[in-house]
Amino acid sequence: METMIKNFKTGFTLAILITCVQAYAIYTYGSAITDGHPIGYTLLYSVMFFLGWFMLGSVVTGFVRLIVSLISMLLTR
Amino acid sequence: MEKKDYVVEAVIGLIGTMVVALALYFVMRYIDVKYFDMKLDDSQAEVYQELQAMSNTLFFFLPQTKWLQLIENKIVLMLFVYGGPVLIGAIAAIGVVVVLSGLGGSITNVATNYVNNQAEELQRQEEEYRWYSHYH
Repeated sequence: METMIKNFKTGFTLAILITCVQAYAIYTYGSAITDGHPIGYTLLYSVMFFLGWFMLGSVVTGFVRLIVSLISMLLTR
Repeated sequence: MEKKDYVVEAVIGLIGTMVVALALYFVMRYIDVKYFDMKLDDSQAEVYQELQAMSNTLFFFLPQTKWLQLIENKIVLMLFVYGGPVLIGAIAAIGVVVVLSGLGGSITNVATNYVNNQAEELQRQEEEYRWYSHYH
């Protein structure tokens, strides 16, 4: 349970970082999507994927935590 | 023995995280398909082109090979499934705020009204304090 909450905290941080990079990407390279639309369209597309990145980052953090604990168990046997 | 406990905790945490994520995914997918008529079939040409534009934008730093593009499209489709109800809910929340606050308070005035109310409250407290310190 505590590990789950740790995973979600790390996933939240990851999601904030990825959202910042993604806002830059949509603003700079996203002319195929946001062409002819106001700036709010770019902002909405940046914020829209936050929940998805949050969940994906949490699951990836869980996998990384498992792999690191396995490696540490094998090394200290 | 302690290291083994770490592994067990990591496995339990991973399973719990995946259960929460998958449950939310299927709830969101149900809402998307039932209420918003979202097309989630990757093999259709229209859906594929829309996903292609989005994945080329998001993963601008990766090379555009075929299999990489397929994986990117799967990730972007998953992100769309999670994000569709959130986006529409945000727009609906803005609409609800506009309707409830009426004609007098538009969205751009919310921060101004808050600051003004805080300033009035501070001024009132200061006057009370002056009165108190004057007579006691």
